[in-house]
Amino acid sequence: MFKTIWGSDKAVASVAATSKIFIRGKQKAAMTPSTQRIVNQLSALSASRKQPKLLSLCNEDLIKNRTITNAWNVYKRKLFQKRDEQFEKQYNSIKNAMEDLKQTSPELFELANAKEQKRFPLEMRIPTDFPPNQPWVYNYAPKK
Amino acid sequence: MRGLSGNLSRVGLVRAYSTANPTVSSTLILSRNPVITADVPKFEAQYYKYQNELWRRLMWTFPKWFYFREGTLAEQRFRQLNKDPVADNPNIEFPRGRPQIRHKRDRRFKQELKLPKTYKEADELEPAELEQAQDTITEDDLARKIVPNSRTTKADQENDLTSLERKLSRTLYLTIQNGSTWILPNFPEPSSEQVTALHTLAEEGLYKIGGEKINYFNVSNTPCHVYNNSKDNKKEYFIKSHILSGDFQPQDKSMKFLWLTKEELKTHLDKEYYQDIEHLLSEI
Repeated sequence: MFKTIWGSDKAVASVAATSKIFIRGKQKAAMTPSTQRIVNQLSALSASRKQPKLLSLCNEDLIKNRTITNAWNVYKRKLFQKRDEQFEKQYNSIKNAMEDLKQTSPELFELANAKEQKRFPLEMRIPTDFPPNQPWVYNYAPKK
Repeated sequence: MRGLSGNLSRVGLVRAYSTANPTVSSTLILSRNPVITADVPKFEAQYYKYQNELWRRLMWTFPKWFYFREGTLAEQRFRQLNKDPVADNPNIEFPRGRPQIRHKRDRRFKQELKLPKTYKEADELEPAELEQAQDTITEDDLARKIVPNSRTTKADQENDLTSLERKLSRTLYLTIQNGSTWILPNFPEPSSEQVTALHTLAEEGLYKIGGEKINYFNVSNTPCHVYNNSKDNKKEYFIKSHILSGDFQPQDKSMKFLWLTKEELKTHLDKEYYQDIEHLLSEI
């Protein structure tokens, strides 16, 4: 160790040169840019000094919050019930129709149940919040 | 009450015996699916607002240093728009509680950020600039303000019931006039020896009355409902399909047709008929 530091005149000269530079404040280890980047990224993810104050609701606000949540649950439950009832009705009416068709006309029943490769149409649109510039496509020409 | 219903059923029985097999027919429920999302009911809108405010209040502070490097122009613009909150000064009384500043955010409240815009709002412009701005705005200018199209269309304002562009947020159903009543298009099975499948019958019938410029998607070949029409001695099997593009152009000039929502169908269709098919129609 000793040998390596005082090993040559060159090394001694360089040590003397650096010790003359005075740096104010606490000395930080120099970071390579890649390390700095990782530190930056972690600082964005970490919770330190970024969390807001905890919500402390008074009794009245707590009751309000509970009432709102209950009202929402009741509302949703009613919607789901209505939807389920509709689904059940639809299922029963399909079943009923098919059994009726089997009785009335077995040929039509066979035709209705014939396997066919159906493709989902690419033209079908998913609803968006605002309509497109042209809300409906009128110029459709059937395939020949 | 009991006597009445007994009478009715007896009438039905007599009819069933007196006539031969009822004619099989195919009824088409042709729907135009919603183009835009459903309107949010008032209660839902209020609840979502409440939840959104709670969520914003509990959000972490925006790590500005990560998105805007110090000393850059972008960071300067961001700083100009987002002024620092009032600092906590021990010599000042704060009647509504001391500010708790962390990373230049008062952690007692939600953080509201403004981002630099590429355009000026109408109220920020000078009158002279306003005229100029209207002239210079072009469709392909990337810096222009994006204004979404209106959710109500021209057809809504004119209350054009035959337009496919009306009530974009609802499902519309095709109804046609049969004599004095409105019905869903119905096509009886031809009386020849050979039978036609219900969905082909519906398709051919639709093309016959509405022209071939209709692009439609038939969901299933199986009927979804059966309606016993005792008046015409008919069995109506319902086939569901969606119109995707094109237009319904009546081939017979005297035929009237409408595109209606579920509620409007209730007022147009026969009461008993509507109650029988009510569950097949979409609320949205």
